[in-house]
Amino acid sequence: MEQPVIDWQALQSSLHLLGSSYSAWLLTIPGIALGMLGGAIPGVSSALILAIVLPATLWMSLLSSLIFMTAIYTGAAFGVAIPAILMGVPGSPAAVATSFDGYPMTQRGEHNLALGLALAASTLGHMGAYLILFFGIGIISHAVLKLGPLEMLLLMLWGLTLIAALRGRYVSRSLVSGLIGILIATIGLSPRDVIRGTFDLPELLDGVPVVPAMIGLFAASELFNLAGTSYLVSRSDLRTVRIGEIARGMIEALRHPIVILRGLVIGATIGGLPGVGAAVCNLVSYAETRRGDKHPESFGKGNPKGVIAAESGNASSEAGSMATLLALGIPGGASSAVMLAALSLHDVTSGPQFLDTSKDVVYAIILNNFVQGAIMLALGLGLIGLMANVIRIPVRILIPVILVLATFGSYGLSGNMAGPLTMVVFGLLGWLMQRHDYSVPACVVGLILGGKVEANLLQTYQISGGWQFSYFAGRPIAMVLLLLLLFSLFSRPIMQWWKRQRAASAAALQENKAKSA
Amino acid sequence: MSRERDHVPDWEHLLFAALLLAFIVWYLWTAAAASLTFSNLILIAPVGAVAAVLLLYIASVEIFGRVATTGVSSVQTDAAAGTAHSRFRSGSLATIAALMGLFGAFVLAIPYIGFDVATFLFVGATLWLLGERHIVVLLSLALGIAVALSLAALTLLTFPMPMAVARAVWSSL
Repeated sequence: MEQPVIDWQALQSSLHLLGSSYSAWLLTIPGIALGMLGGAIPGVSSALILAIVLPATLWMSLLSSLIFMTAIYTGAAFGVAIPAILMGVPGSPAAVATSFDGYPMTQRGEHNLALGLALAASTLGHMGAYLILFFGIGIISHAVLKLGPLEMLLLMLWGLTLIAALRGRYVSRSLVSGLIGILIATIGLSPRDVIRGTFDLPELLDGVPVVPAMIGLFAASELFNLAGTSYLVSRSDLRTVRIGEIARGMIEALRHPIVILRGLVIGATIGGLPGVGAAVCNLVSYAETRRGDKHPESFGKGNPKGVIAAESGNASSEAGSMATLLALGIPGGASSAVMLAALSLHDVTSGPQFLDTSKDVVYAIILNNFVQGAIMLALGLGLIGLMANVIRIPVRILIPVILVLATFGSYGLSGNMAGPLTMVVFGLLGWLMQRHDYSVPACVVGLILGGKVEANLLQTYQISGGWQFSYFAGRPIAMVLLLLLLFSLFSRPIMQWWKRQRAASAAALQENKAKSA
Repeated sequence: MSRERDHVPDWEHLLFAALLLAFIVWYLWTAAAASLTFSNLILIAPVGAVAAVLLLYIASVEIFGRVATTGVSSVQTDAAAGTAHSRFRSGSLATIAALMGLFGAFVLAIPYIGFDVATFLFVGATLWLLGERHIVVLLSLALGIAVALSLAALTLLTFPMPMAVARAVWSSL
């Protein structure tokens, strides 16, 4: 049966839901503000803020909790750009590419302009990607029902390999990180009721608590690294804020609709791939804009288009990861993994069934996110001055406060000391990994996906009758996914080899010409 | 292509890689001992084996040095590495180690001295460690954060957090 693009009945129901849920609206503004403030502190990722507020969502309705969390996500997507622009230190890996041109603009005294560019690009990227989600969610809900354990397995493997390939300094170390994450995720009672690696601790029978482990890996390890530094921002003149200049930057961003459009399409699609976070969207959008520009050499030296591309890429990845989270039940990144935990706190399992039965909730989230974009624009303008003050707080105060908050959050999640203890152990592991260039995000994605990979692998093995080829041949989506997976793994080395060959032959040709001349 | 000259192995990294390898071997061993069936080892055996091989490769590169390559790939890798590393500004190792020790002690102490007292002591000690020498600022911040979070724990969390004095004070109000 043909699936309608928009389910009007569900849309009407979602409007009723939003109209009757005052708490959801009341939580939107503090959510965005919290996300922006947290995101503006380097080392504090949206995943950490979400993990800290996760216990509080127990007291909210499902819709309110999801809206509160997406509001934090939205705010943090812009918040991380502030330190990236002002001092070249991204608030999180999601703003790495933002710093490439944002910081040189600051060095030229154009930081207000750059902040305006980032704010407008973030807002437009966010709203545009949710628009894609609004029209695409019906198609997604229809398409995902065709996905079996084999396709899910391939999607998860793709997410893992993309992160491992793109994130780290050394590919081998990033792969080890991801693989260790997978192994840690399988600790506890297996799908076949075998107890593995629990150290005889009953607390580990359910597996390693994922969110406290994630807080430890991300936050504790970054905060340990900041110990001994005095201020995040040392030059006070970087913190002067002129609203007029910021507004001028916002108008300037509107002059580059193609850059924004490219960023939001990349964010909405790549952000939707499991295991691929805002960091990848940020980098890919930046790289594609640079490659397509007439003056690629001007990038990295304060080209406004670089800031716009990077920010529209990372802000739009939220909608992509929400599509994957709601339609497939797979976290697109660490932040949506915490949202998955919020869903489970409300005894809801996201995935095709959820999308089918609760489309009104999904539409309500999308519609609220359009409004979130407008609120972010207003709040961003007003709060930039305040956020600069947050960066003025000495590191010696930020570190203990955030560590205590994280301990509080992880105790609230586990209900016993297992959460905080897990955080300490994984904080140490994360710091050691970061120190030796083992990709922490790859490990986190392995940790999140490992259990599901094993369950889907076992199911595929059973359904396929022990790896019968006819089963694989009869699943065209799986074949396409496999080809895409192989392409993403091998296209770069093949291209590099081809470029080297071409350069070598060109050099040989020139040498011959020179000789004959 | 040639081996890098004057290569000095990073022994700390080698120790870390050895610890990761030991974890993998131990985990595979205990999993196989629990059940030596295909369904039990379907994922962890290949994943563990690949991770172990990669770690051995990483260790060999660390000991014997990397094969130096030229061209596009090495230039790109160096650029990416520079970017990744410029994100972090690290303090002294002693300060980081002390901070880790304090954080571990804080978490371990919660069941014995309560979250309220542990938070007060941890925040105070960390502020001192990281250079806060104004005693009034130090004490008021430690007390303020301990009171605020203990109050949040008493009112927000469904699971009772171990407390030394906060619960008694809260219920007497």
